[in-house]
This record gives sequence, structure tokens and C-alpha cells, in this order.
Amino acid sequence: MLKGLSQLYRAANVMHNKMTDISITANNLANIDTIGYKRELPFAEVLSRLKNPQVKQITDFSEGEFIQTGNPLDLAISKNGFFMIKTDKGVELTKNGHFKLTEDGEIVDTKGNPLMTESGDLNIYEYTLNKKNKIKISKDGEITVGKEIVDKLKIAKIDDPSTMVRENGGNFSFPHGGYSDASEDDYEIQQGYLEGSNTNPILEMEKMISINKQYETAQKIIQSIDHQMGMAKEIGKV
Amino acid sequence: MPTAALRTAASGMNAQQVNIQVIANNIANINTTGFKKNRAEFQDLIYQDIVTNPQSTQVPGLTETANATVEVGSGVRTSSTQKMFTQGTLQQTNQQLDLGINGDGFFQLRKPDGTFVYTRDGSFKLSADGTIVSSSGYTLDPGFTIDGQASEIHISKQGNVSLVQFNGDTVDLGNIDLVKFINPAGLKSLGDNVYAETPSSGQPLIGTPGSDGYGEVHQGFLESSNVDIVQEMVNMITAQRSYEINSKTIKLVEDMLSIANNLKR
Repeated sequence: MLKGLSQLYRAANVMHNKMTDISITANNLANIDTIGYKRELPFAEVLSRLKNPQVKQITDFSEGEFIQTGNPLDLAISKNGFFMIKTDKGVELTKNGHFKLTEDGEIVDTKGNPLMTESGDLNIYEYTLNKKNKIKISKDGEITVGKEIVDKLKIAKIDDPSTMVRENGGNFSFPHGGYSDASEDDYEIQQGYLEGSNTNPILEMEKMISINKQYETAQKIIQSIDHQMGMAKEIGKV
Repeated sequence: MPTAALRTAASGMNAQQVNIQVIANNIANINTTGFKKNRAEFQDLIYQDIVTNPQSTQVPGLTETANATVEVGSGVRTSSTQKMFTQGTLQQTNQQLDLGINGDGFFQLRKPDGTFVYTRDGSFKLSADGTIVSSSGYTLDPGFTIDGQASEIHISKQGNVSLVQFNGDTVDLGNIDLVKFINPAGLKSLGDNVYAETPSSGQPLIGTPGSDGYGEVHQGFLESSNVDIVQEMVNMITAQRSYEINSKTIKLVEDMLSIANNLKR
């Protein structure tokens, strides 16, 4: 009886986890057009024969398509490089390179948090008053306004992807570390481009179908255990 | 919790609807002089920690207590629309007061209330009192008064305006200036082909056409919209398919809920 009960719970767990999986897949698909979005991969892992399959999650950090926008403050960063954003909660890393200029001359992300640079307080207000000036950002992150190099972007690389915690806006925070300063070989910045989402609709569709089938299988298992347990009490009856 | 995936997919459908609206507006303005196309932008929503083994502590025989969690996102929202200031093609109209800008820059217009707005639409007209006004009736700034004595208005690539009078004399009237912004994507669209300055666009920087990176002014030309119909059609197809696949998610979650409902026959 006990054996049957634990199997019943195990199958129920599978159903619960498949529901979580479908939420993750739904989120990937909803963010199919989100700049800098990295898809999540749900997967079940059997830790030992006794224990339940546990859902662990990893982020697929593969590169999305670069989309040309022509705006000087749209930046796409390739390979393992991440922009660093200073938020109220601490530093966050992001692939979302859609930046804006504020009235005071600061470069901020869509939520208004400043982009981090080597000097720490980039302010190009005085440069924006000169009509000859254009903002140029080189492949390694050097910011040139007009003819003057004003600063360099601070770029991080992720050493241990599993420690990254997702925040909204395509950002990642890192309560347990796992990142370091990137060297110039680790990344390349493209000005006037944005990196699209790396969600692949075909892969997600395939995932959805398999999740659905596994869910159905778990349901059948529960039904058959239920049936067997019903049979058990029939033993001994003549 | 089971309905979280439904809401996530619904947010995806909503986002694609906004996307289609933006694309529809681009296509509707394919023949609007000086129109700059828009692009919708999206952002993912907050992530929640979901416990993977909710029953593990209640089951006899299953000793595992690790409350492992995974982060599950809650969908997408439209964060902004962005204007793309790429050059539109210049089309010849042979009208004296049709001006096309080839390169960076905007014409500065003054509204009746004294505030300034900016435009790429150079289809100017003469008002009853001889001032140069835009098609929506705002005066060009700095403006000129052209009296009835002129037979021809000549505007050079550098924006110099001169009048050729009936007796053949040429009168120099002054210069049309152009205005640049350090971040034109930050400008606010007001409709009527005009834009207003915002904190994120930066201040207007006035300059002479054809110098310091300002575009040249071409008389007798108009800049057509920069909407690329093929690109918009492709965007429309992907938006429609994304909408469809999000609706598939809803269908699938519904199937799963019905399976759960049928656990006990």
C-alpha cells in the first residue's frame, strides 16, 4: 500500500513539474520579440532511484539575431559579454542594449538605471551641446563623442551561468557571484544594432508537445495505480 | 499556479497585437511625406520561484527534503515604440517650396502658441501674408516673408533663400536652418508629421545645411516615408505567427487542465 502511495505521489509530482515546464515554455514564447531575452530550458533530472525527478533549470545563453536599428544608443554585444547596469538593488547584467540619454547627459536603460562605465560617472551633457558631436561606441566599448574619447563601458562576463538569477527587463542579478570583468576578446559591441530574443519557435513547439504527452502519461499512471489500489482490497473476498 | 501559463501566453498575444498595430501604422503611412517608421519593443516580466517538489515532505518513504525551486517568468509587456530615423528616398516634385533633407536634421517650425516643433516633411506653402508655412499651418523658423514681386524662389543646398524678381534682380532673404538632436530616437511624435523635443532626445542643435554633418536641402524634392513594404510584410508574418503560437500555448495548457480534471473518472 505504502509503495503504491509513494508512486502515486511521484506521478503527481511529474504532473506538477510538467505544469511548471509549460509555464517556462509559455514565457519563452511570449518573449519571442523581447530584446536581449535568453530562453530558459526546463529539464527533469533523476537524482537517484529513491528520489523524485527534480526540475532544474538552465538558461540558454546562445546568441540571438542582431537587428539593425540605426540608433546610436542601441548596442548589441556578442559572445560572453554583458552590459552592467546599476540598479537600486545592486548591479545587474544584461544583453539588452537599448539605452537612452537623459536630460542631464547620463546614459540609462529603459527603466532609467544608469549604464556602468570605467570612470563610474559618465556624463556627456557638455558634449551634447556641440552640434558637431556624434556618439560613437567602438567594438571594445570605447565611447567617443565628437573627437574626444570620454569613457569606456564596463563589460562583464559570466563564469558560472547557474548562479545567475533572472530579473525583469532581460536582466540578471548574481547574489552568489559568478561573474568577472571581461577582456576584449570576450565580446564585440555593435553600435546601431539590438540583439533579438533567442527563442526558437520550433524547439518550443516540440517541447510543448512532449510536455503535454508526459503530462498525459503521468495521469494514466495515477489512474492505473488508483485502479490497482482498488483491486487490492478485493483480495480475500471469495 | 496552473493558470500562470495561460496568463503568460495571453501577455504574449497582447504584445503581438501591439506589434501588429505598430506595423499597420507603418504601412498606413507608406505615402506620408517625411514619415519615419516605428518598431514596438518588448520586455520580460518578473520571475517567481516555484517549488519543484511540493509533496516531498508529506510522503512517507520519500526522505528528500530539498525544496528546490525554479524561476518561472510571468510573460511579456510592451516597453516602448521606437522610431527609426533612416533616410527616406527623395522624390522630385518640381514645386518651388518642396524641400527634402538628404542627411541628418529637421526643419524647425513655430506653432501659433510660440512653442517649437520639428519635422522632416518639407512640403511648405505660402500663407496669405507671404510667410512660409508647413502643410499643417505652422510657420517655418527662422521665417521669411515673400512678397508678390517675386517670380521665382531659389533655395540652395546650404539653405540660402533668394528671390528672383520680375526685373531680374536677385534679393537674398537669408538662410533656412536645420536642427539636429543627439538622440533623435527620443523625440516625441505629435502627429501631423511633427516631433517635439523631450529630455531623452537632448536639446535642439541649430546648424547650417550641408555643414557639420547636417543634411543638404534639396529644392523641388520631398522625402518619402522610410517604410519598406517588404520588411513590414515580413514583420507582419512573424507577428501573426507569434500570435498563433501563443494561442497554441493556451490551447495546450487547457488540454493539460482537462487531463488533470479527468484524473478521477
